[in-house]
Amino acid sequence: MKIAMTVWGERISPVLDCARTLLVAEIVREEVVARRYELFDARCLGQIMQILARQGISVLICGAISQEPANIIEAGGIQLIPFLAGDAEIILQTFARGQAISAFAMPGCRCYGRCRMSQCGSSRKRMRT
Amino acid sequence: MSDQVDRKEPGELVKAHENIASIANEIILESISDGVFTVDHEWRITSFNRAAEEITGIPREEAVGRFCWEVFRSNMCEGDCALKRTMKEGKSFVSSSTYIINKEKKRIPISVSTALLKNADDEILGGVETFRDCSVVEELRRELSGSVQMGDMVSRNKAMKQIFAILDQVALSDSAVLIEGETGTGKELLAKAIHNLSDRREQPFVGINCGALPDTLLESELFGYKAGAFTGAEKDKPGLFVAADGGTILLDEMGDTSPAFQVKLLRVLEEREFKPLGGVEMTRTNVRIIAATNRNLGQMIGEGRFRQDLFYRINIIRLKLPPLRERLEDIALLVERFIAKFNRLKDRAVSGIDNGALALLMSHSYPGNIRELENIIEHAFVLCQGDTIGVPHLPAYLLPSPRTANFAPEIQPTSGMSLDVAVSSTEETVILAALRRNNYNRRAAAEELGMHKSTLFRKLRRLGIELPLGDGRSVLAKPAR
Repeated sequence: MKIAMTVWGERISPVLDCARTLLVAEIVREEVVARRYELFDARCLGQIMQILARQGISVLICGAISQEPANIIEAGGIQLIPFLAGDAEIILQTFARGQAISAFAMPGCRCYGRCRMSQCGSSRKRMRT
Repeated sequence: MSDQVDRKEPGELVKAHENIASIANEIILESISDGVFTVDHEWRITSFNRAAEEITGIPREEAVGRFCWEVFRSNMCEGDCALKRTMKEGKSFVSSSTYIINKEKKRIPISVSTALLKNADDEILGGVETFRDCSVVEELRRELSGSVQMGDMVSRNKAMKQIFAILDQVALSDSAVLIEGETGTGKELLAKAIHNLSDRREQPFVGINCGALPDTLLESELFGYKAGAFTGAEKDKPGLFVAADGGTILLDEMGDTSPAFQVKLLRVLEEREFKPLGGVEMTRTNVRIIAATNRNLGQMIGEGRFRQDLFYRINIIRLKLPPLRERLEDIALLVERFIAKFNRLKDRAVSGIDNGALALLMSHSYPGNIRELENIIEHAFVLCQGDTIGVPHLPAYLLPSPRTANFAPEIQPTSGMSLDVAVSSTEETVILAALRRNNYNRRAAAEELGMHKSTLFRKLRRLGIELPLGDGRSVLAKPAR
């Protein structure tokens, strides 16, 4: 599977709405086998949707995101895992191994399993079910 | 005795004053309505006041110790961070406008001021950021200017999400757009959203209701006229095609125009030029046309009431807005937004709507669509003196009559309600709404609900729903004559 993360240096970009770099990673048997970076202008959502579609990306991990781009991305059939923060590589490896990434939730966004709307506790294995 | 109290050493007095000042500062910081946080040299938050908790929705204990961008989540963080500039240049910045994103994915407009944080010895300890929630100001500004963002159109509905998904590309294409939808579904709002997302957004957006004006007036409004064109035309008047030059023009109620006017409009679309009334020279125009209608233009072509060639000219991109009765999942969302809007406009503090009133709203068919729902909430604001809108605050035409299929029953407050009861209650509401929409025709209602009609009969019996005598069966059963 291919996933994408909006990144800022080595970290997850704090706000998708003004992010500039997309890390596209390919995961095979719980290993990240390929990585590439794509630059985009988040003000033009069509651009990011084109990249996601062209690369066949099924999951997008990002930091904070507002409702409008979230709607557009989800309407495009992409699984959105928002409101994460921290080292992009560690989150990527954790996700690739199928482990929960709830520990990387942004402050105020931890649902402790109570919030059905949030995907803070998403993991790759859980999403497959 | 008093002499002994007053006689303190100077050092002690200074210390006492410092303690009082420190306590006072803390109280002031906790009582002001501006959010304030401080960071150290590593950008980790060291203090976070009460207003900062309220504006961001993040508890202090979760914020302190975290990187400021993980908590603040502003569009400035990644690029032009005001606090970073302050730390770098050593000077304060006052009132930069920006926004932050809270955990509900809402953009909160704020103004930000930054300064260096220094101790008594003038050593820099870090930075301090003060921010103010500007939501109310922004809402009022939006109301006054009438401007719209795509973010103003909210929906959980699949059809609406599909429109949102392509709106960006539609806006950038510059092709003519046809928006179909019943009255009150938000056609003008969608047209404005397309304009605001397009490259023409800096130019004017002009809308005209073609159905409200007779041909001659419509032509003079759109194409303008020359002095002497008719009695009273004392000087040249440019039309809307000139006023909107470079921008977008919305031709609303397009299906209500006469065949003669349709010919003239077709010429403008084909030639990109028009002749003002009484003029002899053609005027070039560069406007994007968005047409809107609440009629079925395809059917009107078949009846000879709408020109096929004009239809093909405007039907390059067609967007169909669903009526509110097909967007029941959006009602709670829209109610919430209207309550927030009227709270701001009327300086009220209504916190929400109770389950009974919401169930009643869910069972209505909304011939006036979203505009009607907005009017209902405005009506409720007049009657509701408390903090929650209830059934008695809704307009009389929505209120329940005796329990028949004319009224979808209330879902009572969820506290103490078992899951089975809640499911049955919701099932009843949905079934009754479907029956009403289908004029109490059970077969049609069953089809809409995706079940066999015998299943529907069983459910009606189990739920004890009585249908009115004229249930619509006879209407559909008879072949059309």
